[in-house]
Amino acid sequence: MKFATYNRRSLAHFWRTNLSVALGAAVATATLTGALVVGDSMRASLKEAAIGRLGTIDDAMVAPRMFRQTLADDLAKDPTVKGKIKAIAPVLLLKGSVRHADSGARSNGVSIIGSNERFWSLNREADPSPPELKGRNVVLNSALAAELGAKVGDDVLVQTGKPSAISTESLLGRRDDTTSTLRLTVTGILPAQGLAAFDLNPRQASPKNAFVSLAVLQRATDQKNRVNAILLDEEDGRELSSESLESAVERNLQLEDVGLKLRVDAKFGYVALESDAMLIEPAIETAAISAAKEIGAGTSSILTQLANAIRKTGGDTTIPYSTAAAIDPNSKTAKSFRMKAGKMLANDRDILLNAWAADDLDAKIGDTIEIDYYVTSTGGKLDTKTDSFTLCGILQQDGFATDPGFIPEYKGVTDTENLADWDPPFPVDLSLVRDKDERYWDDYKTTPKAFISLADGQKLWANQPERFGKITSIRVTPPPSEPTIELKDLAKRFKKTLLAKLDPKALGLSFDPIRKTVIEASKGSTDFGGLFIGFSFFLIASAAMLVALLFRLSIEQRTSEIGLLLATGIQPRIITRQLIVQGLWLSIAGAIIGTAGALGYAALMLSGLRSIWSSAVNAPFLKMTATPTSLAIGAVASVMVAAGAAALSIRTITRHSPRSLLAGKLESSSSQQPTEGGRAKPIAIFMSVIAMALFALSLTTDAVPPVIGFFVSGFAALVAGLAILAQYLKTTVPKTIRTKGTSAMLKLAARNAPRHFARSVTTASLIASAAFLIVSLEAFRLRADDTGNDKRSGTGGFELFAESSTPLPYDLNTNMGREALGIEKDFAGTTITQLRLRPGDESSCLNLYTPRDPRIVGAPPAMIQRGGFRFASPMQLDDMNPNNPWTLLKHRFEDGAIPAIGDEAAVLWQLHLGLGKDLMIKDERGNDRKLRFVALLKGSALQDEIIIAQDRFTELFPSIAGHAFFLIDTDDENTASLESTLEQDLTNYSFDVASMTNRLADYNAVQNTYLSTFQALGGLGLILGTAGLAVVLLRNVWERRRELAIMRAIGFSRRAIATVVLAENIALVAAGLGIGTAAALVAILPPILQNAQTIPVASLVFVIAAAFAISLLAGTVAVRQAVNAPLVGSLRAE
Amino acid sequence: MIQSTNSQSKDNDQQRNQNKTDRPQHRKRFNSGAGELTILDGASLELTSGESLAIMGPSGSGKSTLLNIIGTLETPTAGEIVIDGCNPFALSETDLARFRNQTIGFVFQEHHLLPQCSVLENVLLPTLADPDSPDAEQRARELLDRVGLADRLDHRPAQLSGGERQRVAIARALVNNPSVLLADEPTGNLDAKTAETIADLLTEIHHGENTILIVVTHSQKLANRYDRCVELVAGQLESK
Repeated sequence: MKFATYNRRSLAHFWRTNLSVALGAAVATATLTGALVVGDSMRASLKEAAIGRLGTIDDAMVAPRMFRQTLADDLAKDPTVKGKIKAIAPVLLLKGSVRHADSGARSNGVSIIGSNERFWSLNREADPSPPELKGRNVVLNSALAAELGAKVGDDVLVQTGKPSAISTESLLGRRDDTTSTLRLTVTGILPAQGLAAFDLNPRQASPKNAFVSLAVLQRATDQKNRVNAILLDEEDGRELSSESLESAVERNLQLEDVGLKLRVDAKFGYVALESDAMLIEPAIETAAISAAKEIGAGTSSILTQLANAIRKTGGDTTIPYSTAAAIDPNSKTAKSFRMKAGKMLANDRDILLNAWAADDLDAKIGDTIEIDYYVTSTGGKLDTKTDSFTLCGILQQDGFATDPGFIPEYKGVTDTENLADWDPPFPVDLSLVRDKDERYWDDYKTTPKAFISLADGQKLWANQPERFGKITSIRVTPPPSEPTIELKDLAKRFKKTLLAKLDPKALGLSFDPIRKTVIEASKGSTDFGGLFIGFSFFLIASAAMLVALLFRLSIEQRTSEIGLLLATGIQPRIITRQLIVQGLWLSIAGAIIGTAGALGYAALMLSGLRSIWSSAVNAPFLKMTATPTSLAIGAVASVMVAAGAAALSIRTITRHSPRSLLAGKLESSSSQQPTEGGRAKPIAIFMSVIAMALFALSLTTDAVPPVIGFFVSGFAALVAGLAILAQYLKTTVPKTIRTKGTSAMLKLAARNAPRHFARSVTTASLIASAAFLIVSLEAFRLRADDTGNDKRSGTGGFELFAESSTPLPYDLNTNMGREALGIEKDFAGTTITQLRLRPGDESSCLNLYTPRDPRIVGAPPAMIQRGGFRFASPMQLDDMNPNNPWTLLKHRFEDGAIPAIGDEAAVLWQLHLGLGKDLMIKDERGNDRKLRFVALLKGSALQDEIIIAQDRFTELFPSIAGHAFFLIDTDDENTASLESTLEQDLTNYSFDVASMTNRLADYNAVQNTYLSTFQALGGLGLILGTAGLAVVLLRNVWERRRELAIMRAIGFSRRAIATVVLAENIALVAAGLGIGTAAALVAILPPILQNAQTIPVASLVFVIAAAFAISLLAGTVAVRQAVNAPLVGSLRAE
Repeated sequence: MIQSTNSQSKDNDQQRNQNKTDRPQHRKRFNSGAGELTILDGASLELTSGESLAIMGPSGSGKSTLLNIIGTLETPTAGEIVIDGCNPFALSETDLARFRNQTIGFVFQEHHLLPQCSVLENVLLPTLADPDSPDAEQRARELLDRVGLADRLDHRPAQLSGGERQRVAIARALVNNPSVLLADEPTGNLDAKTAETIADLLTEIHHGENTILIVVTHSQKLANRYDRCVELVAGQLESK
């Protein structure tokens, strides 16, 4: 006979007990593998949902600027792209809102997609495509249609922002024309799948899309033949690298694509580079000057300004509404002027007037000339500023001094017939315009009447030069070596050189391998496999303890067999090894059964995540997916856990004497007698000291990190409690029972616990661990006790927050701003903190996808000054105001990192960063920038935003003007009225207001739902513990069947017997629950008291009572067995 | 040859031979929790191959303890055992197990057959310690033939009567050709007729195998079958 035969025979013969062990192992496998399958399913479902919304799109270029629609065609023909793509589509992607024309129902945050058939050619074959989009038709996806209650044939109002090259924060930005409204008829409603659910930013929620004809949307937003996105589908197997696409964009880039144009002025002999944005961006200015230099051409930089008034100090005359220009006195342009009197600009604050103006003002050389002009500040506020200059020269009213091309083309000003027809984006008093001014306009149009030096001009007129630029045009003149070069040729040569110098990537024109990016993001910010293993840890541990307990009991049934093997001279280690082999086979059998169970467990968990735990994930599309790898890893890991537990449970069994084993006894007679307690006493003392010390330290100081404090003190208290129990069971010397009745029965029951000391302590441990977990989790449940009133709460004292699809160009806190926005309501008692917003991925725990490029907001100085919110841990920097960590946002790091504040949960768990860590982002110009977390908000309603100072925001994102994120602090108790006023009055901006408390509650719901999940699984662990307790009690009753029979034979009633057995059960359950609850309180009290939270006594009592009730179920099984055992049969056994 | 002697005289054969009956040497104490109990106090004896001995004595006198000490299942508090010139208690745990496997065969009052194994497998159980014994199965079959169970090889213990089970236990005890066969009340659980049969079998096999046979029994009738009979009184052996 071989050991294999022995093992096989043993496994088969003791199949009943072995089956129970295998089932215990199966529970461990089902839990562990099931957790991994949940992770698989989550990843696969997220990926499927995100990929599905891309249709067949592989790459996408979404630019922060508008470019030629035909760039898509140019790219398709490029040699590096041609033949490698199936389809390419130019698209206009805007954000906005849609309102039902009849019902008024409104939906904000809608993607307004200007598309044509090329876009829909990117759809997967199985996905629905709309009928041809033409005219004033719109197709909605079902998510949007459902929210609006719209059906085919209904009219809707589509409101969206108007992209503009000119910043609304510059003087010429049209703040009153930033939105566009289209009344369209719904001609189709598509199920939200495929491109109908098109979304480049993966998220769980189904996107709300409105599809409009590309041409119609372009017209409505004044962007004829211009788009802001190109989507392409690569030919299968012909992968296009990002570099190939970038080089293709570079080769096909036109000046129009970056909002530039070259104007050839044959009359004055120059080529002017001008920008749609009026001001030329610094990077383009540098490239243009470098390009001109490279071709040997001369350059003159010009900055023009609209002067509200030009007058001589002390004079009577004022010239209204003129242009003035700042020029380089050494430039060819300046040198081309003919002086009538005086000399060229030489000193600071010198000014030249043309003859017309000098005559009009009766100005002489040396006179002081004043210029009034507007300067803009944030919120659309206009201030008038006056500068004084010294008249150094008067220009002849001819030649270059009559060039109207100093000011770039600006609709509503440069193209008007009369000065009185001006339609500038700032207030003008046209009554001030005199006839002579009109005549000047007729003769000279926008020709400047005054010139100052470029240095003065840039100092005085350039508003945020680093952000917007500091020149309005660059004049390129023929190279001295080729004075006769045709200007057209010069323009061509300059253009070619300039384009070669422009980096499209730095201008926001780069492709993102969106499919790959989305797949990467689908891996999720949270490893749900790991999370559920964490959640299931207690269940797995309980299953392992149960396996250990059951295996030990099954082996205890075979003690005489082990004794015999020892007696026949088989070495103890060989016997142990064979028993472990049997445990291993049982674990393998359990793993096989458990793997099937894992699918059920995962299905149950996913069903929970779709229903009762949906607040945590908000992902109704979850489907089960199990990868062979996860099943294999789960099975192998479970076998190791179960076999390990089994091995541990019997590691000492062969150390017993063969004689006692042969007699069927595992413990020598002495072990049933009170002893000194062995290691229990020192362990109890040591662990109690640790637990108490940590408890005291955590309560009184910040020296102990909360997580360490919780886990270490909790664990120490748990072990100390169990060691005290062990010490009690081992050392208590029973007194003679002298009482009668129930009291005597209870005392008799108390005698039984120490008899199987190890079993008693193990079962108490199971119950205690479950109680610890459930009680501490209940205490950690977040309660929505944060209200908008408390500045130091998670809402920061803000009752409401709002977001607009189109940034507001005006200040909501000023009468002028509100008036400009059309708001009539007086906001007395309401302060609105207005933040800039760079849209991006949500970084809150509500987003299951990995946030690739989080939303960033720019906090104004007033918000930094105001302070508020709770902080987890600010960085200790020298310039920090200890009472207001927000001031850290003003810190300047030597390495150029930008201080940022984020919510602790979002930063730690979504971004996987922490305090002092850097979040790498790309700024608008394609540079890598570091946002360094200088402080973390604790339990805040700002999980979705990374906050930086406003000035640093504009440094990163210069083109983002206006405010799109708002925190509202109001004394108005009727917040609903304020909410509806704002939403209605600002409907053009898709202004959406919501409660901060509700937002916080939504975030809390995620954590609470996770806690519920954890608790539910902990509850399952308690059930397993109860099952273990039931088995132990049954085993005890079976072993004592003769003793119980004798008790009955000598006259004890069944009730008395039941009392003894039940009391023993209650004692163990009570000990376990007591120890677990006490340990949990030791762990949770310091954080609760420090955060001034309340202890949820009622729910804790309920949880403990429920755990007690479940545990008592075990006793009833044993009681039934005890009182129903056949009396005579049991006595015969004696 | 088996010698059980005082550790103080283990190097002196002459003294040891003199001490074998009249100087109690083995001592075994137990901590009962309520005080120390001395079970054996100076028990000493010497046996040679082919010799048989019955140990009698009242319940609790230490008969089984002595048998377990001889069988190396328990260690004496003081004193020593020498079997075939070897003191097993001086061996390492591994060597002691090997020694027990090769030198000693046990027959217990409770047969302790493994219910999951067949008759043949039960007999082969001691050979598990030595997987390289090629003749083990042949030997087991022969032994089962000698105990009259040749036709019950594949039966399970549950299918056997009490006497048959004890016969299997005897075959199991002999499968490794032990020098010493120890039987602890081998007929204690059997009816008179079956007990007689088992006693005959033990005697017959003992003679056939030329082992030292030590039997602990309450039965004077059984004890009378063996070469010598001693009684354990107050921890000491007295010849009867």
